Amino acid sequence: MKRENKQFLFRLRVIFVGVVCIGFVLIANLFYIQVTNGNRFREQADGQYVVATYNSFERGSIFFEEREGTRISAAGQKSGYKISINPKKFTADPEEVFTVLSITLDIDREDFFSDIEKKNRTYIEIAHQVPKEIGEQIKKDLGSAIQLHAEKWRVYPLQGSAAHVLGFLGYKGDEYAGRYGLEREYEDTLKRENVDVYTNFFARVFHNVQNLVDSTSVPEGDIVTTIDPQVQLFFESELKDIQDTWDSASVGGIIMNPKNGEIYALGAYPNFDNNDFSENSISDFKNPLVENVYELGSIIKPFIVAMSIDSGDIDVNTLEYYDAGSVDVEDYTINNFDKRGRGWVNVQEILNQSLNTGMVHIAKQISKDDFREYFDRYGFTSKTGIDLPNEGNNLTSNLTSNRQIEFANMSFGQGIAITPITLVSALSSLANDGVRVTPHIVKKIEYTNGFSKTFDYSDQDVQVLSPETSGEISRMLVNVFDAYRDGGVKLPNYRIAAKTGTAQIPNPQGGYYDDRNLHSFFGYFPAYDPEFIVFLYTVHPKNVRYASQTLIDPFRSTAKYLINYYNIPPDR
Amino acid sequence: MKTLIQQLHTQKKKLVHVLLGSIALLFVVYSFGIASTTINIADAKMYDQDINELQTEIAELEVEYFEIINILSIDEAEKYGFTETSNLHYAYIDKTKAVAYNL
Repeated sequence: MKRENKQFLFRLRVIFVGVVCIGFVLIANLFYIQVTNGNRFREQADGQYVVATYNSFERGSIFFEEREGTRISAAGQKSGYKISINPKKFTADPEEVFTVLSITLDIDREDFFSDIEKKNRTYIEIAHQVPKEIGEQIKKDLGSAIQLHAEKWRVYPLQGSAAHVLGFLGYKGDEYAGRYGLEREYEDTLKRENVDVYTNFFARVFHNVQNLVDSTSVPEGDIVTTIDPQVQLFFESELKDIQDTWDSASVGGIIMNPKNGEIYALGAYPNFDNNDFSENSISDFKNPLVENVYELGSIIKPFIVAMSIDSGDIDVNTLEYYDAGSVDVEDYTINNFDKRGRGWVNVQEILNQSLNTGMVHIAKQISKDDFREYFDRYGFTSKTGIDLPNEGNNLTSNLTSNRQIEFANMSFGQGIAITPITLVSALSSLANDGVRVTPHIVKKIEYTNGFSKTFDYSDQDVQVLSPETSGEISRMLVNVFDAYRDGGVKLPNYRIAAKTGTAQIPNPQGGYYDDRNLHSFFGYFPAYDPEFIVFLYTVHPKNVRYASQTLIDPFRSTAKYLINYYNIPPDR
Repeated sequence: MKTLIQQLHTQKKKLVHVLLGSIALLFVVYSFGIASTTINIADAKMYDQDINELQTEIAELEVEYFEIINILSIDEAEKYGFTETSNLHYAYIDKTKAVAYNL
């Protein structure tokens, strides 16, 4: 009996302790519900203010970074309300309701009144992405005549700037995810797990456990890019001016750091606003600088000269060529752009005057194997690996040919089509002591778990040319730029290495168009320790012949802007 | 020695009570820890979302600022009588420290 009493007491104590512990846990949850979130739950329970359904859309941010390190959100989110009506229970005066709504919202009158008449419906949305203050004021004014639903949506504050870089969110079937640009490339990092924080207590306790133990899941984070928003906006205004001035079919440009591949600005027109792109065609969303290939023409000539110097096949100090205005290669005749001959010219003059005949002569000095190898080293036969989706494949099949005419054409940039980003990456080898870098947009990811990852692409650098060759070609390109318009465009205190390109555009029915050109231009400065490569192109500008007419001034303007913005000291 | 064992035997009940009490207390403290961690995680997420939205608002204001400062171009400055400086010279210690002047 005594023993039974003892057992009974022991069990009673165990049960008592268990009840006390559970009580503490319940009190903690009660504290959370009542004290921390009391107002919100009260309002939801009332059902008079915000409908209890909650859109838990969340997504990581994409940041641009200014020169001092200040971050600007280029892709963020906003919260507000959707407004709906319940036609079945609608008893208010429709005219009065419409009047109040139309003060602050853009609602079609006909649609509204026809929605009111649909008495078999209990839910019709009449407005979405309504800012909080406006939604709350409307609710105050109209009461139960309308319902508010909490809503969150993606916002791109720069209003279409760098739209090709950022991309946007869209539906593919039932999946709402990043389409194009960084939104797509970093979808796994940016998306957030769709967990409603107002589910039950134990779900909240355990909902992160799976992510902690699942080694295949990609951690969630925010992205910090190399894009400088001020440079991007300025550059886009220059590109827009080019398009407006010359009525071009398209325009594009890239500004990159040739030492590490960081891209400061990347833009193209036609453009679109990733906040509202309903009126745009799908072709506008393609990033032509990464996805499209072009025959870029004379802008390729410095690469040919550089590789000839580097391979030892030419000596720039002694090579001379008699330019008759045209040259025969196999069964073809290749002309200079104006079909005029200049007589005896050296390599500098071949570059200055962009002589196709001279380039054919230089290309003949290089063996085909060397030619292929250097093009491979320049990156023309492969993708750059830039962290944007759908990078285009360069068209370089003519390299496999043994016909001299193909190599002759390639020597002045025809017969080979590459993406603009491939070209800019290759240009870094001319500017950066012969080292080709990997272009990239993202420099850092900051994860929600507190860790971060900084990207370093230096292990992918390729030594294409010797530093001496890089210095020599830079010197020659400085002379090219200084000579434009008889010295009228050079910056007295800055050495700029640059080259224009005017290429014929292939006709899909064969040959090339007679009346359409692609203009291109690159420049890097300060020439012997460059901080920037600027590349511009424009397709089919109207009523103008040469790139020197369309692109030198915008380039010069961009160069001056960058020099001032980044406080680049003069180098001469 | 015998006394020590006897003492331990008589205090056995107290030790058991202390042990059980400690276990109960640890359980309660552990539950509080879990609960407050979860609450803090949920609150941190909420604050992250609020920060995200604030950053978006700041970015919109920055864009307005950029539009205003980009009005200040060379053409605009010339309207007010300013002229682009020519004959510039630079004094610099190294790449990062330079001063422009004209005579």
